[in-house]
Amino acid sequence: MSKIRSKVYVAGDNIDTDNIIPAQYLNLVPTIPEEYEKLGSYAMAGLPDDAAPFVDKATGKTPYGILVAGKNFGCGSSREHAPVALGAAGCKAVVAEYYARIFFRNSVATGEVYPFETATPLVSEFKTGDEAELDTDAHTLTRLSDGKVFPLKDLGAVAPVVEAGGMFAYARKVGMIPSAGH
Amino acid sequence: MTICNMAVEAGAKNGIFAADDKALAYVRARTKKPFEPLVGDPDAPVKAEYTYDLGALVPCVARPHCPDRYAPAADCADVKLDRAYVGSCTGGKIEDFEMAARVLNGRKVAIDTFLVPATVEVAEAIRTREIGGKTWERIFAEAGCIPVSAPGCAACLGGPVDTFGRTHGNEVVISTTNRNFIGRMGSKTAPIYLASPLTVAASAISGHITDPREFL
Repeated sequence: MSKIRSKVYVAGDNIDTDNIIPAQYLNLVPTIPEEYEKLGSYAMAGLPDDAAPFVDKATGKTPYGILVAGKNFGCGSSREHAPVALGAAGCKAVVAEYYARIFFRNSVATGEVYPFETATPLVSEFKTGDEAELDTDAHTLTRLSDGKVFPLKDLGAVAPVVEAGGMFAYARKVGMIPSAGH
Repeated sequence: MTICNMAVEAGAKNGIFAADDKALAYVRARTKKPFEPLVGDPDAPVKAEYTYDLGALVPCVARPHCPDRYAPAADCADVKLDRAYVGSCTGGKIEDFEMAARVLNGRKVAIDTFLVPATVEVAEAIRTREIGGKTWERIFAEAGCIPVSAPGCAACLGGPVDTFGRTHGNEVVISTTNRNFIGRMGSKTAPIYLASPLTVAASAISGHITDPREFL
């Protein structure tokens, strides 16, 4: 994947993993397909009730393929369900000023979302519902209303891991471990 | 252990302490295998060194909804509470319950007070250790606390709707747990104040946030 064209959801600073997926839903097991889907339907359910809904209740999916946030995205409890819930909802990438380290690693390990860092704060450049295009190869985010291009930081060695679908998928792809079924 | 846990909320990637005699005794009691503790090189480069005068620190709380929203407990006396909670990996250890028992001994709580030992060993200590000939469990019972729960995470992170101590409405909670983000203990509208076991126990007695030094 190199281009992701989607609506943008805008969140603030310090979005913690309880916002992303409240602990009451951690009984859902991501490796069971129905429960994975259900987990996605609760993505960002921990945001305050006056926040714009992230997931469409009728479909259980998000119309927002790109989540733009501020500082310290994914702080709080270590919870791999956080990137999993975002990915299961249909979100493809988070674009934040910077991440809490565990969330960043979990995003890469699961391959559920690209954890891009912005070169400059972007939360004031977008509002929820804006259309944008993320180029994962050129690492840019383009605001489609006026074509303004915002540079993102290069994900470097991390990008191919996310693209492969996570650490294990990547290791199989490049031959570090045998392919499934061997 | 509390500092190690909370260092991450202060922005650290990790919080570690060199093993002291207490830590070494803990490990020795659990393995017969030989081991060698790791220590830092004396000439290792240090980025920054800070010295704190512990005698100058005062009991404090973290106000909703972030652990770094520091305030001295004495400055928050106008915060009326509905619930007190002692528990979690961070604030539900043996020494934490000992502190709570010291404050609650011979006194009554004014609000619902939940006690959740972190481990089976902590639960055993609550049942067997004594202050003035009374087990901590009896001290807590006589103070009017809700009976001590089975060990676990319980409401520290909210959990399923029937979780022990979970908030469901607008309860104002003072807790020894480690995080107070929106919805952390269940309800998004329940404000959580984080504090030490001494401060939580003292506040449970008076029903509002209380500097525990008046009870020591």
